[in-house]
Amino acid sequence: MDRLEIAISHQLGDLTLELELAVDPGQSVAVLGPSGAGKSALLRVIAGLLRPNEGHVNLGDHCWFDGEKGINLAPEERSVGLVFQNYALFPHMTVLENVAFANRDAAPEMLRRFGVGSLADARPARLSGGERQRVALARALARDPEVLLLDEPLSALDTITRREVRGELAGLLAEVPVPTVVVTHDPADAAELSGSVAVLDAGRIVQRGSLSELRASPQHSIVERILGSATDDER
Amino acid sequence: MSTRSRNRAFLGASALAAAALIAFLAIPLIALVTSVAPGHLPELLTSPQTLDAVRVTVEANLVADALILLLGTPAAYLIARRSFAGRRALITLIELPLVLPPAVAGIALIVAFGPNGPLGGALAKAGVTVPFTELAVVLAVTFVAAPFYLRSAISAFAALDGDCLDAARTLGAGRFRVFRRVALPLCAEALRSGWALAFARGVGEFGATLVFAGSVAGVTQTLPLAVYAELPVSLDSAIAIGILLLAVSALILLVSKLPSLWTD
Repeated sequence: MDRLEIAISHQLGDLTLELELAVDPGQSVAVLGPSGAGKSALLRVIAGLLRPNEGHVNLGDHCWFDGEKGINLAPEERSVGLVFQNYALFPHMTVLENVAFANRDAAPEMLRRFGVGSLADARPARLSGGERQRVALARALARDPEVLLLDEPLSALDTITRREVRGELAGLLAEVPVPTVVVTHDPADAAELSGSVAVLDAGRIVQRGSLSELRASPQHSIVERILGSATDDER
Repeated sequence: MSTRSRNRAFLGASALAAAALIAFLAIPLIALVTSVAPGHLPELLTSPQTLDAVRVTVEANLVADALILLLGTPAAYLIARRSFAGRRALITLIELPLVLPPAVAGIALIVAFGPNGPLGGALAKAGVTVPFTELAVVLAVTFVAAPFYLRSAISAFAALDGDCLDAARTLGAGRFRVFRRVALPLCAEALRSGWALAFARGVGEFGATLVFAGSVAGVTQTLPLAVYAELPVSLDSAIAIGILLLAVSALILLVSKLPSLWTD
């Protein structure tokens, strides 16, 4: 398993995304920030869905993107599992077909592992929010990706489901042996899903550390504002 | 006048308008279908000239529809999913034949594919003559019918959830597999109804074909041209071909609406 290293600069309308981030194998980093800070763009850059203006994205010795050398691997050539905010399940396929799209041989086993084996023949429209998330995770992990990316993994769920699923997801992430980046706007999600939190504001990482470190000595007003704000659960 | 009587008057006027319009649309069709004894139809429709027109229509539309589907589907996907300068202008250009008078389309095709035209000149050097051949019928049908398919296909592909397509890429699928396994099945219904409209327009094509391909029996005379050619010769034959075309049109409409026919 390899370390994920990102150093990129990208102009997105009025926002300049300019950041460096390294994530070790087995480590989960939460990128915490308000909407419009560039969180989803960061995941799209890592996945190869958005080509940054400059910089590099490396996984160990493998170069996925290098602006200077003109290297830019297509998304399908990078080994990435990306769980989208709305899960992006294929509506015309069954649960089993969704996971088999990524890996036909592993699909039945993945469904069992994620507790959705009984839903194999169901279409995504029939699933609850929590079930959809499990199918999306099973699909993203079916190819044994070397990097796992989660975009606001809990925001599509209602408050009660959210609390249940958050614990499940934390347990799962603890077992994932690859670098994981979780993007969220909710400090409670960040605290439970990742040991390390990077606060992103206006395209830049303003502080990184454990949530307790950030709480103890916030070095930026946005860190104070985000950590001081109520979580979705408390609202 | 009280509110209730105003409501009643408006409802009555609307019902009257609907009845008048429906009668106007339905009466000519009923008159057409009932003007020839059904027993005579097989005889009228199996005359050598009509059978030739059926053959020319079927051949030209098969080739034209294959061209429209094979070239139009990937082209619509590209135009719908990529952003580039002049995209809106390009879509307007594609839609232009929808509102262009068919005779103008025919003239434009003659100018382009005639011996001195930008395309016809090169083809003439290769020994290929286009105007007034069966190939001209194919091109005329493609020209007027393709926009119906392209328009449906572009709006269906543009409405796709981009995250689904992106998700497929991150799951290891290349662009073609994403197109085949995700985009095509999700847009299948819109593509089918767009194709049905294009097919109906192609089968009924008259003006552009007449100008660009002429009305040579057995070569370029399609069924709509045969109706026109038969009119001064045998009214019954013209009516019989009209009934055949009406049946084909009704069938296409039915097929394109089949999944939603039982809903409101």
